[in-house]
Order: sequence, then structure tokens, then C-alpha cells
Amino acid sequence: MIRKISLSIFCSALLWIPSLLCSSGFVIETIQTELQKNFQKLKKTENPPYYLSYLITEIEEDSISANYGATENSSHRKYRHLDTDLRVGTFGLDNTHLGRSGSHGNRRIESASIPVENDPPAFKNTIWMETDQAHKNAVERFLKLESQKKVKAEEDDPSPDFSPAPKQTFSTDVSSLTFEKNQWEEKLKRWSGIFKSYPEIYGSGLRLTAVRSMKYFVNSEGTLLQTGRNHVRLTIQAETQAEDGMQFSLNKTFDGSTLESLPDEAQVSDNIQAMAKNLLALKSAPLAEPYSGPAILSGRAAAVFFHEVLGHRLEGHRQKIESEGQTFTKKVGEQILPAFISVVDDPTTDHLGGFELNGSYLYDDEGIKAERAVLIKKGILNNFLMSRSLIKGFNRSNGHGRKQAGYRTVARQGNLIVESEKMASESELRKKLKEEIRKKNKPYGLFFKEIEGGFTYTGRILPNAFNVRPLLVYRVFAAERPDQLVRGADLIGTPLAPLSKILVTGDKKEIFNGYCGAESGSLPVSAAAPSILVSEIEIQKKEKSDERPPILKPPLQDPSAK
Amino acid sequence: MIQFPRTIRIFLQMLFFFEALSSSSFALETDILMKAALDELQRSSQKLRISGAVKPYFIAYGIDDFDYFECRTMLGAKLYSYRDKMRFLRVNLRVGDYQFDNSGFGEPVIKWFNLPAEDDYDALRHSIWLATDHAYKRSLDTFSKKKAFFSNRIAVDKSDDFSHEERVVLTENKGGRLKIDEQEWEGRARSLSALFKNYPKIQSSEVIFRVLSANHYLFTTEGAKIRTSQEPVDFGMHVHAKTQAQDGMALKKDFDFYGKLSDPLQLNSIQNSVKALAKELSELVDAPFIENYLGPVLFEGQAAGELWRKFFVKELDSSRPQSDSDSNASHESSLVAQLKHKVMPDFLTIVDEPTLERYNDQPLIGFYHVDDEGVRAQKVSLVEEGMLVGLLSTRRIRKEFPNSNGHARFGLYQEPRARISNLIVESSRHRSAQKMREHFLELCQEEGLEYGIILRSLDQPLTGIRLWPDGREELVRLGNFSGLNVRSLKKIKDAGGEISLYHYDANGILSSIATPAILLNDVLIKRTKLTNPKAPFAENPLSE
Repeated sequence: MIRKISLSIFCSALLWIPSLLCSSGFVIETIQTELQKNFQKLKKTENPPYYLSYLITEIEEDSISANYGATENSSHRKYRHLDTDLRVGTFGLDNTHLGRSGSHGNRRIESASIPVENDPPAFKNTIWMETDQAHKNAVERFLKLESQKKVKAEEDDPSPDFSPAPKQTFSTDVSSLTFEKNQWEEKLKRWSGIFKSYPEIYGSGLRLTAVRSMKYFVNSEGTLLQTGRNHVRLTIQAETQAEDGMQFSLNKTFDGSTLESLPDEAQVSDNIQAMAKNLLALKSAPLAEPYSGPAILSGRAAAVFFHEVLGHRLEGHRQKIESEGQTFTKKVGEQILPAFISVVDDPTTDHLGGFELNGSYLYDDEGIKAERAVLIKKGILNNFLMSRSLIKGFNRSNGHGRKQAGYRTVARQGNLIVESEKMASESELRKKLKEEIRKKNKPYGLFFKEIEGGFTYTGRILPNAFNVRPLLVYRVFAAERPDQLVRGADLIGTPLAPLSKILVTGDKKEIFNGYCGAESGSLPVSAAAPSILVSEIEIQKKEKSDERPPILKPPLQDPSAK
Repeated sequence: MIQFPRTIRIFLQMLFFFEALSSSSFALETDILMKAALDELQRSSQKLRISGAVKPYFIAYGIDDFDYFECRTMLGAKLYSYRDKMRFLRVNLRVGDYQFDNSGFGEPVIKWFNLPAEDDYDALRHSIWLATDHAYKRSLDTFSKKKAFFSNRIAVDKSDDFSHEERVVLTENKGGRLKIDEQEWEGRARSLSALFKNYPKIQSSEVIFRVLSANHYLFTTEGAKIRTSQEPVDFGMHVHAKTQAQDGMALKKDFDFYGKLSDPLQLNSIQNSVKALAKELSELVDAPFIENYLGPVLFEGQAAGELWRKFFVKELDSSRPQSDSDSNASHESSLVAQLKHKVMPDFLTIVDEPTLERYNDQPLIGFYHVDDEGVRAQKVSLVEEGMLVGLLSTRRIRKEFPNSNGHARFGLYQEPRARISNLIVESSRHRSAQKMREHFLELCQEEGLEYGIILRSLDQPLTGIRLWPDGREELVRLGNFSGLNVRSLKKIKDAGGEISLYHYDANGILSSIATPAILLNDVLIKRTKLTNPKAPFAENPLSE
């Protein structure tokens, strides 16, 4: 468990070659010049900063949404945001100190719109005003924290608020997404019109977003980074309501880095038909009863389960905030999962089994090169997700400091990947599930096929629990009879119990690409896992509305409506 | 300037009204949005009901159809720009009857929804169907709560919950897509914002250009059928600038210009206004600060309009407040209790006139024919020779005003409230600007003051002009008003000089105020801040 800064990691960074940058060289050059100038000037003030960074996020986004055969909205946006991270004090204690209560009230960072046009006076003026505001806020907060520290009891984990990092230089450019907008509008209209033949599906729609995002980062340690990413996402969504008022919404997303990577007409059409069929089946499916017993989670369901139950609890900063549950803080080196399971978070890989991963990046938002972090090794807790804010026993960042524009960085997940050494084919897994059902003398087991997402609560005040929202859940019977779809089940529990009850996994990983929201904003992430068989899992009844389904028939299906 | 006598003007408006009505039937047929809304309205009014529950007695669909462009600039560079098409549906579905329905009981009676931006009959109707269904269920829910509440209580004002009004049918030609050279207008905003480069004492500034073309629809089960597309103005140029004085005090100035794309642009005049704003704000950095002032204040230009807006206009809404679980009447306009009383000196007369397009040959931006509840816009006499004689009303009536006078205006996602359109303040004293100043200085002398304060805008903190007895003017910084309210208007000592127009946009509701300069006595202006932020760590890079 000895952690030293390995130089080799940093030497591999590419050299920054200005000539490659052409027009966009303006941004990085300007923020670098302004940073040096402002940092020097601030050095002469009464409370000088020890660290300053500027991050410009540039977003170019096209978005089209369609429902029921018509375009709902079609928009194009391009904007840039400047985030200023200015730190007063020392690495040990600075103005970002989280304190006992955690990051509450300090999640936002100084952030402003900055022109999309490369214009020196406007850039300089904005940077100057933002730096001044950041400095004033930092000084005030630091002086308050410093005097508070003297009168309060020592914190459990007095680790430094920030850690030094070597200089990095890297530059890449990402070409704009070529986008035949009219064609895509037509496609989305056509596809969304398929739902017209399903009168019992009340709301539905498709959305396409194509985003080119660039990040320009400079800091007072000399780091200069220019990175970029293209991301396209197609979402299909539909909803209906059962006679008792319960609402169901199914969705399907396709992610990629180019529009060409999206599914073709036939695939989309198949997906829509399948979704419609599932919704109609759900509408008339029997209600799930509270249940505790063996279950299979599909790969995607397991991936979300690991993201919520494990991933969020391994985010470094949570280990030192005293209001956090700290489930795993003192368990380093201990067995917390079955020995056949290992878990890594690897932002450095962008593909898995032929699919693109949504949580990949080269450098994190604190200028640290992304690293593959081995979190669980053969069931034993090995590492946390680390930003530059340190915790006991872990004295360096592993490149997981992430944030959305406007937020303060914390440690976050990228691509969480679950590896297994005890695998079985899907059919064997089902066989084993049936054995468990018999052994436990249960009427049935459960199969969680599709999952919408989930949430978890990591604090201390409310029960430290998770909730995963399954979309499609089946009862699996020990006897030879078809699986039965049930509706209204929420997968619940406290974190430690189900993790230790994994019996065996499937042999193919599935990927859940999504966006994760936490203290530092909404970020693209992936989670990948094989399906898992657990000896015991708990479901509760889903909260439901008491509103009845629409009173009148859909206009298209009402013969009396002209 | 030639002005038609009032009666003739009203006659001309009526003519326009009926003309618009007769020429419209053709365009109606091709309006898919209108057809979808009317068809679903008819079906809902005939069939929408849950057995055993009250049925809707009134359904209205209001639709705002916007084609919108916005560009934000600073110091000659574009921050961003975007173009959007948006459609908003507001459903006003009432259960019960006109006397007692689900309105006025905490829950908003208007429900807002998005509609597809495309003219597709099936998709539009599908969305309107779901919206109506949702609104009906919510209205039923509120209705039952309200009924339970009133099972133990008696309303003090027994007016109907919703007034009966004359049906209006008005269909103007449909407005087309926004026709604008985006780059040209971006360029204009950019060059206006670049003017600030010459003023390094100003810390930050922005110029925002917004333009839209719109169609507004209203259909009701009472038979109202309205489509309007003629906006008094379609674009706005908004200028904001901020800085700090030598002592650290934060200072800011705004300026808004509204116009029509079809009119020749007065770019020169906007440029001059921006330069004047920048110059004034720069000079304010070194201007003296007057901590306290008690005495007469002369409100000139925009400041006079802002004075009415701040201390008079917001009290004009006569609609009955919500009868929620708290039964107190404190939210009620204080002017209601002052009806038929003198509220200001007798040389002042005030009307609100929605159908007036121009005043003193200057365009007014609060102009409309039909309000957002489908009631014909009416001119309302508010103050006659100092006496309060009227207030603005909607269909949420009260016993003093049993009918709407066509002043229901909603901003996006807001409830109907009575708001002004074009407020015209007239003084029977036709004093020159020079005479106003003389009177002002006399008052100052009576109060034993060395100088008087003239305000020309009411930006916060206040800044103005110190007028010395010898006529010398000096720019000064001030604090804020203390204790000023609608009752202070009784202390108006004089009104006259140049008539100025003040236009503003509050949540998408455009209004104009025409007023002479106002001389108000006994105004207390005092400092508001105990501390000021320090100056920035370095000089503005613009001065490098």
C-alpha cells in the first residue's frame, strides 16, 4: 500500500506543439498569459494565492427532439464558460477545506460566460473580474476557516486539502461534428411517428444530441492542457399508465462519438416496437410484492448497482467528510466483496467489447493525467477514487477529480468496470438461480433485466441506503414455466449486505452509459459488469400516483373526434 | 402634433377591429395549430368528464408561438447567440360554475405546457389532449379542497369567481417566421458593446439583442377565437454596465431600447445613449457621495416613469386575492381602500389606454386589442384631478368592479393579474422645464437646503444631479429611498416640463409610461450599505 508518485506516468505526456493549435491556440495562449500576469500581481497582495487555475469549457451542441411524428424542438448552441480555481492558504489548509459538514454551500466555483469569439479585450476583462471575485471570496473563506480551526476539535482525517502535481502539457483538437440537421430531423420525426400506432402509449419521444466539447486548462504550476471530445446520444422514451394510476416510463439510449455510430433505421424501429410491447405488457402485468430472495441482475442492472452501491462510496473526499457514512473508509486491505470480483475505474479506455464508453477522458479537471484505478482487487479494498484533495493513507491523485462547468471538483467515477473470475453462461446462471429458489424454498426468484438508473444516499442522517429503479423485472420460477413480468418493484437495501451475497457472475459484460449527478455536477460516466446472481436481494413497492389514465381516448383513436 | 379628439380615435380603432375580423376567414383554414386546438377544445367541452365528478364549465387554450433570436455581446465580442422556435400552451380549465369554481385557491388556475414547434395536426392535438386531461384532474382536486374549505367559511366579497364577459373574435393575419439577418444584428450588438472599450473605468458591460416574431392564440368554450400577431415592438437592445466608485461602492446603469425591425433603425441614437451611459458611469466613479438627503426631489425623464412604476403601478391590480388557507387581506392592493379619495394633487389625471399606439407621435409598447383572458382592451380612467376613480381588473372580479376592463396580462408561467399597458399621466399645469426647476429651487430654499437633488433614472444605488441655487449641476452618488410608498404621491408639488416615455419589459409583459417631470417633496434618501467591496487587485486590462 505504499504510494509514490511515479515519474514515468508524467513523462509520457505529449509535448505541447503550438503550431498544431491554429485558431484555437488563442484560448490556451490567452488564459496562460493572463494567468501568469494575474498570479504575479496577486502575489503582491496581503493574502496571496498559492495556486490558480483557469478552465474554459467550450460546448457546441445540436439538439433535436421529436414526438408523435413532429419536431418538438431543434436547437443549436455554442458557448464557453470560464471557471476560476484560486486557492489561498497552503496545501494543508486552504479556502476549499470541506470541514465536517462536507461541501455544502461550497459546491459552486467562480464561473462566467466568456465570448465564443477569440477577442483579447473581452477575454482579459472577464478573466480579470472573475479572478478578483475568486480572490476576494477565497481570502474571506480562508481567514474564517483558519480561525475556526483553532477553536474546534481536531478532525478525524487532517489530510491536506490539495496536493502538488507535476506540470503537464498536452494538446489535441477535435473536429466539429458534421451534421445533416434536416436529414436527422426527418429521421426523428419518422421514428417518433411509429408510436402513433400504439394508442395506449400516452407520451413518447426521441431526442438526438450531438455535442463537441473542448476543455482548455492552465494552472500556476505550468500545466497547459487542451482536450476535446465528441459525443452523440440518441434517446427513445415512452410512457404509459396502468388502470390503477401507476406510471411507467421506458427509455433506451445509444451513445457514440460520431453520428455514424448510431443505430440504423431498422434497429431503431425494432427498439421502438420492443419498447412499445414491453410497455403494454407492463400495463397489464401483476403488481410486484415486497420480496426478499435470490435474483439475477442483468449486466446493465449490475453495472448501475455497482455504480450506486460501491462506486459512490469509494469517492475519496467522502472518506474525510465527517457527515458521510464512510462505509469503506477503514476497510482498506479488507475483504468487502467475494474474492472472485475485482473492480477498476478506468477512464483511459474508451471501448469495451466493441462499445464506446461514456466516462473516458485523458486528463481530469485538475490537470492530472487519467489513471486506471484498481479499487477492489480479488474482493479486497485496494484504493479510492482520488482527486488532488488527499485522505489518510492516500497521498496522490489518481486522476479522478471531475466536475461540470461551474462546480468545484471532487473525486468521481469515470468508467467503472467489474471483473469476475467465477463466471457461468447465461443458461447456467438461470439454472443456479432455480437451485437457489428451491434451496431457500421461495415461490420464485427475480430477474432484473432493464434498469433506468438509481440513486444512493451516502450520509449519516438518513439511513445509508441505495435505490435502483428497475424498468423490467421478471419472476423466475423453479418449475418449468415462462418468466412473468411484474410491475412496480424498486430494488433497495443498505450497501454492505448485497455485495457479499454475490454467488457467481455471467460471462459477458454489459455497459450502462449515462450521466451521473453529484456534488460536482452532472458528468458522463459508464459502468460495465457481467450479470450477477445474488443469494438475497430486497424489493419494495414503487411509489405510485393515484391519478387515473387519460379520460378521453387519444384523438387519433377517437372516431367521434373529427 | 395633430391629435385626434378622443372619440374619433376610439372610432378609428373600432373600424380596424371589424376590418380585421372580416378579412380573416381565409387564413383560418390553413392554420393547423388553430384547427388542432379548436377540434380538441370542442371534443373536451362535449365529452371530458369523470362520472360522479363536476365537469368543466369553461376551458380556454392560450398559445404563444415564438420564433426567437438572442445575441449577447461584451466589449466587441459575442458571448453567444441562439435561435429557437418555442410554443407554449396554457390551459385554463375551470370546474364548478362562474359563481364558485376551482380558481383563487392557492393552486394556479392556469397550467403551462410545451407544444411541438412544428405544424403537425396529430402531434399538436395529442399534446393538447394530454394537457387538458392533466388540467382537468388538477382542477377537480383543487375544487374539492376549496369546497371543503368553504363549508365552514363565508367569503366577505361574494363576487363571482369568474366574470361573464362579451365574447371576442379577432383574427389578425398570421405572423410568419422571423426574418432577420442574424449576422448583421450580431454585428450591431457587437459594435455597440465595443463602445465600452473606451471607458476603462467601467469594470464590466454587456449588450444583449433579443428579437421575436410571435402569434398569440386564445380559444375558449365561450366562443372566443383570437389570433394576434401584431406586436408593438419586436426587438429590444439591452445594455448593462457595472463598476465601483473610488470608495468601493458598487454602481450600475442599464438602458433598454425597443423597436420594430420594419422601422428604420435609429442606430445613431442608440449609440449616443450607450456613450452617454458609459460617460456618466465613468464620471460617477469619482463623484461625491451624499449619505443622507431629506427634501424635494425632481424626477426628470425616465426617473419620473420609474417613480410611477415603483410606487403606483403595482398597486393598481384590483383582482381579488387568493382565498387560501390564510384568510387575511394583506396581499390586497392598498389602493382599493382609497377609491373615491384624493390620492394625489388635483392637477394630475391618469389613464391606462391599451389601444393607444402612439403618444406625442412616439410609439408606445404596451399596446394590445384583447387581453390574455380574451377580454376587449378598455381605456381606464384611474385618477381624475387627483381623485382615485378606477383600478385595473381581470375576470377575477370584486364587488367594487363587477367586470373585467381587459387588463389581464400574463408573463410566461405566471397567473393572470391586472397590469398596466400604456399609462398616461397628464398635468393640467403646463409648466416649462425652466419653471419646474425654479419651483424646485424655491422649495429647497423653503426647506433651508443648500442644494436639491434631481434624479433621471432610479438605478440602484441611486445616482443623480446636485442642483445648486446658481444653476450649477454636479453628478452625485446617493443611497436609496426610505419610506416612500403610494401615499407619498400626495406630496407631489408640481408636474410639468417635457413629457417623457419610459418603456419596460417585466417578464415578457411590455408597458409604457408617459409622464411629465414630477416634483415630489419630503423624500428621504439614505445610505444602504455599511461596507463596500475593495477595489480589484489590478487595473482593468482595458487601460493597459
